[in-house]
Parts: sequence; C-alpha cells; structure tokens
Amino acid sequence: MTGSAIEVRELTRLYRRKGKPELRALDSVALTVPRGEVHGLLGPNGAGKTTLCRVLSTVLLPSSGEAAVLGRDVVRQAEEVKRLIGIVFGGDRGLYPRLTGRQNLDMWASLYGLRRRARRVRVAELLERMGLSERAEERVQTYSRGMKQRLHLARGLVCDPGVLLLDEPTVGMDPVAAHDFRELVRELRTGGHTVLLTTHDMAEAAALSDRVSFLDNGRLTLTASPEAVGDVVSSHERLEVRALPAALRARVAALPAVAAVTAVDGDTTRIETETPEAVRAVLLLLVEEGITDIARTRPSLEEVYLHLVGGRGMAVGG
Amino acid sequence: MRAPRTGKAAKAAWGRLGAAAVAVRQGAVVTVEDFRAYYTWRSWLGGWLVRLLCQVLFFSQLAALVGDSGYAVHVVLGASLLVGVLQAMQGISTTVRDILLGTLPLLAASPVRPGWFFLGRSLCWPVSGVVSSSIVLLALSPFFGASWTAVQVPLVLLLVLLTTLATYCTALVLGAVALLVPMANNLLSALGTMAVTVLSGAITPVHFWPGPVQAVAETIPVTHGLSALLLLESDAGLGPTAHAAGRAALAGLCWLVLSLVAYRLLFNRARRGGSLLT
Ligand SMILES: Nc1ncnc2c1ncn2[C@@H]1O[C@H](COP(=O)(O)OP(=O)(O)O)[C@@H](O)[C@H]1O
Ligand SMILES: [Mg+2]
Repeated sequence: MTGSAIEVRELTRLYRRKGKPELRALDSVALTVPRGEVHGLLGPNGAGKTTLCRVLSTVLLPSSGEAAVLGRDVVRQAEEVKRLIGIVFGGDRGLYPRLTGRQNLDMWASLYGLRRRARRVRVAELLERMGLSERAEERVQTYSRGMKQRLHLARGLVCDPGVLLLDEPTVGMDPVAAHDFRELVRELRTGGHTVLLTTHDMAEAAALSDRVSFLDNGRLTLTASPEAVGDVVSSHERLEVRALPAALRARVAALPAVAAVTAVDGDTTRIETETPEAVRAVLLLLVEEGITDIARTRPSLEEVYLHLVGGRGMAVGG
Repeated sequence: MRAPRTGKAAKAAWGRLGAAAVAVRQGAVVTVEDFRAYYTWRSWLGGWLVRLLCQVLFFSQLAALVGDSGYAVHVVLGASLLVGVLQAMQGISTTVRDILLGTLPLLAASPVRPGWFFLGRSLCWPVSGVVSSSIVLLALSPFFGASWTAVQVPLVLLLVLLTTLATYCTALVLGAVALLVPMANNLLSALGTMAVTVLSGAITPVHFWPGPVQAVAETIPVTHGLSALLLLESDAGLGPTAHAAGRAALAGLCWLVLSLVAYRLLFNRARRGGSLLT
C-alpha cells in the first residue's frame, strides 16, 4: 500500500448547507494511483474533483474514509503530506499580484523550508522551465492568463513534490496557452512525477493520462485507459445543422454509422456519428444539397461515459 | 537517556522558531509590495505625513482653546500616538485581502503557520505608524506645552514603538475573526478603530467611563502606552512609567498569543467546514 502514490478508500466528504440537507460531494470514493502515473480525473462541474484535490492536499478534512499520499495519512500525518504534495488550482487566483514572478516563487520556496542558496537555484530553474525567465522581474498583475498558470505550476513544483495535483489547470486559458501548458505536463510525465489531473475536457485527459477515472456526483464510477476515451472522442462527432429539410433528414439518418438524428431546438438538428468516415459522408451529402450552416462539436462527457459503460457492459455480456 | 531527548526537543523548538521567523519574513515581503502600491517616499512624506500633522495640529489646537494647558498636552500626545495606532489597525483587513486573492487554500496546504505569516503580512502599516507617530509627536508636542529632555526622547520613541506594535497584535486578532465572518470585515475595522480611539483615553480620560467600559479599555494597549507617555512627560519618575509601559507590553503579548491561537483554530475549523478555503 505504501507503494502507491495516492491511496483513497471509502472517502466521503459532506458539506453542511444552511437550511438544506448535507451535500455529499464525495461518496465512498476509492482510487489508487501508482507512483509515476499521470492519472486523469474526469468529471463535469460539481462532480467533486476539487473536493478530492483539497482533501488530498490537507486543505479539507474527510468526513469519513481514508486518504494517503505516499503512504502518509492526510489527517494523521498532515504535516508530512504537505511537504510531499504540490498543488495547482485552476484559475488565475492564488498569486500575489504585486509581487514579481520570481518573488512569488521565492516566497513559497522559503515557506516550504528551502534555504537561500537552494532557493535561488530552484526558482531560477523553474522560471526557465516554464518559459518565464524573461518576465521574472515583472509584477504578476501584468502577466497573461497562461503565464499566471505556468507560474502556478512552477509554484506547485517548488518543493519538489512526489505527487502533483493539477485541478483543472487549463480552465479559462486560450487554446494556444492551454496547448503550451499541456506540453509542460507531458514533460512532467517523462520526468517521472506522479500527477493527478482533474479536467472536464476529455481530449485533455486522453492526451495526457496513463489512466482515466470518471467522477460523477461524488461517485468514482469507472477507471479506463485513455485510448478508450480517446477512441470515443475522436470517432464520435456531432454535427449541428440549421434548417435541414425533412426529406434530407431521412436520407442522413439512413447513412451507415450515423448513430442518431435529433431535433435540438427550433430549426437545429443534431447528427451524431460513430466513425470519421460517417462524418465525411454526412458532410458531403449536406454540402451537395446546398446546406452550409453546419457546426462540428465534440460529444459531451456524459455521452462518452455512457458509451464506455455501455461498451463494457456489452463486452461482459459477450 | 535524558540529554539526547532534551537535545532533540531543543532542536525541534529551534526549528519551529526558525520556521516562524521565515513565515513572518515572507509575509513581510508581501506587505512591502502592497505598501509600495499605496505610497512612494514622496507621497508618504508630502501627502500622508502632512495630512497626519494637520490632523493632530487641529485636535491639539482645539484642546488648547477649550481646556487648560494640561489637557492640551494630553491631547497632543494622545492624538500623536493614535496616528501610529490607527495605521496599525490596518492589520485587520489583511486576511480578507488574502481571501479575495485566493491564497488561503495554498497557505493551508503549505507547512506555514498562518498566524506567523499574517503577523508579517501587514507589518508595513505599524512600521509606517511608528515612524509617522514619532515625527508628529516630537514635532508638535513642544508647541502645546510638552517638554522632553535629551534622555526622554529615546524613551518616547520606545513607547511609540511598543504601543503601535502591541496595537498591531490586537488588529491581528480582529483579522482572524474576519476569517470567521469575512462579510463583517469593515464593521470589525470600524468598531476596532472606534474602540481604540474613544476608549484609550486619547481624547477622553479613561476614568470618565463607567466600570465595565474601563475594564475593556484596560485590554487596549494604547490605554497603557498613553499613560506611560503622560507619566514620562510629567516627570513622574521611571518606576510608574515603566509600570505602565509593562502593562502595555503585557497587553500586546496577550493579543499576540491570542492571534496565533486564533489563526490556528480558525484554519482548522475551515478544514472541517470548507467554505473559507475554496
Ligand atoms: N464549501 C462548500 N459548501 C457547500 N457545498 C460545496 C462547497 N464546495 C463545493 N460544494 C459543492 O460540492 C460539489 C462538488 O464541488 P467541487 O468539488 O467543487 O466539484 P468540481 O471541482 O468537480 O466542479 C458541488 O455540488 C458543489 O456545489
Ligand atoms: Mg473544480
């Protein structure tokens, strides 16, 4: 058991609310993350991802059950756990905006007990790695969202933690910044860090993780390979079409590998496909018929989840 | 058997003390940058200090008009002391600033003792308070009948320092209470400031108040700091002055201990509850 980086058993966390029953943000969650794994924790908003990260980082106490980081209990050995874990919460809060990037890092390095010389080396190295060296002497309030998030990542790494918790780190970033950030996480992975990455973006989880778990409504329901998730995400696509005539609609539905054709609202129709070929076929047909008001979207988390559970169910049945 | 164990305990105590010093220092790094956002040297001297001088001048002038010369001395010393004290009270809103910045969960996840960190986190305010208070006091009090010998001047500075820092510790406790009810932060600031101004005897002598209010006044470091200052000015002798100064220091120490305990308890409470650390 001490072999795992993260070990969670029967973990439940309740929140008291005024005038309402207690909210069960985590419900008997069990999760084991071996050392060196990048584990994606997928879940929609309100699933309990942040709550789990906060329990693991000693910021919140569990209501019942147990959680351990590198063999240390997060309640009984909290002081030890604090030094083993690095946390990066999404969003651009949590930095001192009037301090420079270097000052922010130096401050936390110092609070984590690094001596002056070790600190200087570590901070310079992290700034370099995150591509922030050039702006290191500028106040954080002048940083872009992406830079702040990279600084957050550097902050999380300042104590050289055995386990890194990334809680929706790319939320609110523009695509380029998010891409750069994912590259940094990928480097961590090759560096042998254990990472728990929470996200509601399946493509992100699939691209970065060794394994993926689904959290929904406080329950951890399924652990899958990222390939399984990736397959569903890349093969399943949705097209949303405006003003599709009924006759054409029937022809689209008749195409092979078109899973569903449903009216969404007003004059919008959603077409769900199961293979890339099907997407092409549908698009060809629509364009031929002069329909161009088409949007491509990815399947929702729930859809992928249902598909994976359904797929597994079939495999078990067969 | 005994020696190694005490050796270990001593080492652990040193370690804790070292960590506390680091926490205060790092908190102070933040306060310096915060303070710089408010003031430059020029605006501090040319704007802030001048404003404070005018304020104290106004109250002292008023006191000289309505009261005897003793009352004028009392008011000029009291108002000058309040100059620093009221700046130290800024410590109340520090924690709320960190709530807004979203740094509390990160602090809670780190090994830092929040009480020590927040002790450093607003330190610029009492420091600015000590400097401005001293300047105002030494510049204005001679015009309203106070006289200081060369030996007394360093003692005056010491008393200003002591009173301001002790008040800062009171502010830290109120800041910790603001963790409990962040919405009440402004109210706490207002009440704290008012209590210190009205009850400490700076304008109205403490014996004017009914017994229970006097008891509250006794817990305010300024009450004793001002007594000490007045005793020093009236050449009452080192004994009584030192006694009053000691009471101010004791009050400050109590507030300091209380603040360290309060931060610890309230952070633990937040771990159970959750809303503060999100
Ligand atoms: N401090 C709190 N008090 C009450 N309810 C909370 C608190 N924090 C989170 N919740 C609720 O707990 C659930 C899980 O929240 P969270 O862990 O933040 O989910 P996620 O990070 O997956 O979006 C949500 O329904 C949320 O509203
Ligand atoms: Mg969240």
